[in-house]
Amino acid sequence: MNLFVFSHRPEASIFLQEHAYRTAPIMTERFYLADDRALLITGEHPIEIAARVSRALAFLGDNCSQVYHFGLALILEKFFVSNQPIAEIRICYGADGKNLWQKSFSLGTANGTDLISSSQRIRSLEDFIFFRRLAALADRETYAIAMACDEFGLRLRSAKYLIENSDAIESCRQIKNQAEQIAYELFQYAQNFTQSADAREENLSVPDGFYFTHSMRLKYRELLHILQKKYNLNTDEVLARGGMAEIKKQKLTPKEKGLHLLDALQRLLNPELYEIRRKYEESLAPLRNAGWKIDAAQSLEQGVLILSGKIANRHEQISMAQALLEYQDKSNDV
Amino acid sequence: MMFKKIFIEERVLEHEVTRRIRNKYPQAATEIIENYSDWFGRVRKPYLEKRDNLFLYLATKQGELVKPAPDAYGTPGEPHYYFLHSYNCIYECEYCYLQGYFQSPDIVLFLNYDDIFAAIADTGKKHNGKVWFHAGEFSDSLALNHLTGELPRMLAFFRAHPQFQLELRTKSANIAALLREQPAENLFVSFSISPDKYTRTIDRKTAPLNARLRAAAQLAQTGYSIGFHCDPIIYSPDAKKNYHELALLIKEMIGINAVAYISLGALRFAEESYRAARANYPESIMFLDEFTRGSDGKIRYPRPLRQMLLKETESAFLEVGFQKEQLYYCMEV
Repeated sequence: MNLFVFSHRPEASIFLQEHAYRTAPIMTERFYLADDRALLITGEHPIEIAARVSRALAFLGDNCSQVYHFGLALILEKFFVSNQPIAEIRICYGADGKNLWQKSFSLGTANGTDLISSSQRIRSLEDFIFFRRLAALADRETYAIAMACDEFGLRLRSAKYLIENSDAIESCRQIKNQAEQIAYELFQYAQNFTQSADAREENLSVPDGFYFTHSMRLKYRELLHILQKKYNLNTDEVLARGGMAEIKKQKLTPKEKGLHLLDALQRLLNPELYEIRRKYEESLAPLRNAGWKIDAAQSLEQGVLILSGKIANRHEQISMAQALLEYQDKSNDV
Repeated sequence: MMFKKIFIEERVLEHEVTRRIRNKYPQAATEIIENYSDWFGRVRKPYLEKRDNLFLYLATKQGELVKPAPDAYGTPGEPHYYFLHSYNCIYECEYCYLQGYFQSPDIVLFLNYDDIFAAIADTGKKHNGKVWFHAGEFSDSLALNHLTGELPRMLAFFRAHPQFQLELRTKSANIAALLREQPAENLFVSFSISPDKYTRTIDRKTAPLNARLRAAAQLAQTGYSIGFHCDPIIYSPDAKKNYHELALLIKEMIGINAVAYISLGALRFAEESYRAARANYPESIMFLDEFTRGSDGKIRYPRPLRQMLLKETESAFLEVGFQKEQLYYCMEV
């Protein structure tokens, strides 16, 4: 589902007419739902905007895959703006007065125009000169919307109808007179702009007979991706090379099969490193059997043996001391 | 290359470099500012904006102009410093630590050369013997020298201070200005290199390997001291073979005795740079192997892998005839 965000109702008017929206159960005067989309009218104040977009995204949960924002932007510097009436936004900066916000948001449009959202209206020539150093366009709302999207792991895409740098009152009058035309042009633009892009991670199918916990699943996804690229293989070929069919036949629980498969894929990733680690683990076995607890990964990385142990009686003391004496570090056999 | 906008500090408005650059880029919008640090890096500008939205700052560097180099940065046993004459680079190496270092990819050129040289002289006085000064810790030392015209002045300063060793580090072949100058024993030009397949794919926009080696050969013949940095070394099962071929090329084109030093450093990242590189180049061949956090906090290959890699690379150079004294490990823990 896509969420469409607008600051003002007039800009959203054609969008509301063209789809069968119904009032949402929250924010009933500004939040609307249709079968495959939602529409939110935020108002203009950045704090209200961030709060309302966040509330809408929380309500939509995993159903929301992409957020679009359409609205107006003031041209600060014509030099960097194309002659088209609508511009896609590439990077959004933010400012509170003359204080620039450290974080910026990339909106995923490679050839777009940069915009700065100012919490206050840009009125004076001094403001224009100040803000145009950073961006060619300005508005009040995009940064707050982008920030809320970022919190939910969603990327925002935005397109803005451009208005000239003119007298503020005259500018407002123009916008009011042209509201319907602006709304229509934004709607037309949105038809090509809003091709569904699923910002959530794609579902990953787990092989039959295997079970992965969440962290195993992440590891599986990462290993598959790297191995496909490294050896130029498709998923089936990677799994075949990892010996999935043989693992599947073994009398193991689905989770144990998952662990074995991950281990096999790890070996495939770098057989030399895998072999070093296997030998290292082998060399640690007598220590572990004697009761020592070992941080093998850190020991190998730091080139020292990091171990701890609990001695309860004389017998344990002797066997643990014996294991230490017999231990031979094989980590340097590379 | 084109700068979309040029920010100029008021105090360097009339500087000869400013005039030259404004003439060279008349179509770039200019902004006159009080201090570059009011703008550069104040907000995060995505690194890949450097491709088509690059700004240039012409500025003066205040504060610390010379800093001690990190441990194991240069040849062992001698003091090493780097001096700050510019920030950021026009090239786009996928592993570059600058992508996570500054908040912006924009280029800053510091034009107060006399202040920088005075700071170098002050630092050098603290040492009796040889002391090294590296240019290019935060930029490529030669890539923009045709714009800045800073080399004649810099080389003259170091020729007058023969106890100070100057190292210019580069991935360019932009050596015309160097060839016009008088070389000296304390003037080192070092080239960062990798086997050709990595230079082509990962060192984006830099001079091809052959061009770098030809430039090194020309400079060696002219009388400059030459160094190489095999850094970063990227793991592959055929790494030794690739570096053997590279060592042979250096031997043929430059000659073993003309090489003052070769540093070897396995691929590594500061945490910020690692995150930035993963985001900027998610499909990079750099990420086809496993990484771990080293004891220094840097993201590195697991220790056995990088030890193997460094030893294999070292032996590739030794087998070709380079001496152990010419080789050192860079930033290895």
